Amino acid sequence: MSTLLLPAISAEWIKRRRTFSHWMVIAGGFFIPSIICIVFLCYPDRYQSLQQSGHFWEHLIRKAWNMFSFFFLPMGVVLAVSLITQLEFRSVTWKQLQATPASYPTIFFSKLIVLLLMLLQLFLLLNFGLLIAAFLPPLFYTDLSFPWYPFPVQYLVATNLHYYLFCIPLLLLQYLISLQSRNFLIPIGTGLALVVFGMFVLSWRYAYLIPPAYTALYYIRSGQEQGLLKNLYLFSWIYSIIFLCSGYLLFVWKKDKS
Amino acid sequence: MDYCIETSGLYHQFRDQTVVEDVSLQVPTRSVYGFLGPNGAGKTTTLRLLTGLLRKQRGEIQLFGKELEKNRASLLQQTGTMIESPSVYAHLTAIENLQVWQSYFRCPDQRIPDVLQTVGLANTGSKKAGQFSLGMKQRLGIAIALLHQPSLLILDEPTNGLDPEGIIEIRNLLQQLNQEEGITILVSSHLLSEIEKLVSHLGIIHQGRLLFQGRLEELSQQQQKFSRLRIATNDNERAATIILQSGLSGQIEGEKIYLPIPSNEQIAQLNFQLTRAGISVYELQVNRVDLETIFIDLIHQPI
Repeated sequence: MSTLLLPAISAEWIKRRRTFSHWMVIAGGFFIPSIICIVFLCYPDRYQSLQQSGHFWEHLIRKAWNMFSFFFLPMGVVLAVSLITQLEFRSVTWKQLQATPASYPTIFFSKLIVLLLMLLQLFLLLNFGLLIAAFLPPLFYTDLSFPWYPFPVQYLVATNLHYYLFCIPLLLLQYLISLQSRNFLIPIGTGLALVVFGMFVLSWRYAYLIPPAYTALYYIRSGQEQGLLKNLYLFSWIYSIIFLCSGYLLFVWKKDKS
Repeated sequence: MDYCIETSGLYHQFRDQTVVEDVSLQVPTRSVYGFLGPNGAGKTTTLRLLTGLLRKQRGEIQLFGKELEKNRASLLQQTGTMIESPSVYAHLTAIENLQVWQSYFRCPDQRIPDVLQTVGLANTGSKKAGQFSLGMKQRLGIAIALLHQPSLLILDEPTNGLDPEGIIEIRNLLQQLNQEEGITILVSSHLLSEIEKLVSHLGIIHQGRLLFQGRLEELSQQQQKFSRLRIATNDNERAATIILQSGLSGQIEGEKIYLPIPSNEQIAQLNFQLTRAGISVYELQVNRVDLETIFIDLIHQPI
């Protein structure tokens, strides 16, 4: 697997050029920062009050994740994974791909790694967008000062890492479903239903059992309940391992690989 | 003989339906092997088995003398394929499409302009493959199959959707690849007329069974065997006797007499003898059976 993995990842990266999921990652990354920026430009007093809070960056980051974690992030994951996987079905390229010297693990993991890289790209763009949103308003309003406050790098990295980790079970589940169905509506429909279900169970005691709820759950309840965070870590790993192994085995055991 | 592809007892069924049954293909190295059969005969299933796209249920598959299952990666590195429709990413250009496959086969960058030149797509520039005509997509599919300079090409109906000019171009290209680069080519089709000018060997499959396999000349010999001279006269009984007396064998079928095609001199002699005997000859016609008819006859024989 190892010798062809890097070339296979590079091939997968070329394939995603100009796809809807590629543009979605870019637009999705800048979407929340754009809204925040527009709000600051329309209501500069809100920018000012954020500065006066004493924790400008922490509040800004939390504000962004507030909007992002509930619906946009899980939805984006469902859409991007389904679209990337459907690319092979739509282009009728599975048969060509499976007739290359690339082994089944190489094909499976190269696609998965590209999806994880796209998720990373989304997070990086979100953070970059937040920086722009933070520095843009003072350019338009002279009475606003630039936010030259110490940047909480550790907080930013920890926040991003947590959300990234809590996205992975949903990403792997969606990957598993998308690889099995030729019909685009099945993975999309299932994924959306799971995301909506995840939103419904947020206040449930055992919500940590439902992977699509993890990002929102982390945002609203992890600060209050220490036990919940532990459960989220634990079940994230458990689900990730289960979905990864079952997804891989179902992919390899497929009788018709075309 | 050295076989590039050799299968024995290949069998495959989908649910209760047997699609390939006891197929033992022998594709000689450096040959152009036509795999012929009507739609639904089991051609594509066989080709999918040969490329590992379908899991083998029974039988043996060897490419280059090695078992496919145990040597999948190394054998596929030497094999170019185009199964059913061409595999093309519609949102990418021809170059980008080839870059994708270049990564998997790890071939040099120079191969991309080379194969595009070979298939006549060198000037497509930034045009997306989704905007290509069916013929252009077909060419791109062949370019993908050729990209890594394979020793074996497996092409499933490569001229599908091409206009007559395109068919001739692809045929010439495949001939050139076979003759100049020594590539073994297995090409499937449901039309004999489409591949008879191209292939050296032929396998005819119908209802999952291989009905004929051999050199094209062997099928042509059958053509000779089935071609007959047809004679109609005002007295077929007497004419048949004269035919027998002149050392030829003929038999009356309905209103006509049929006999194996004699030489032109014998035909002229026979005509002379019949008219000298006072028999009016209404019809004297060589009934040549073309390869297509033999193919149709073969696939309509009860299995």
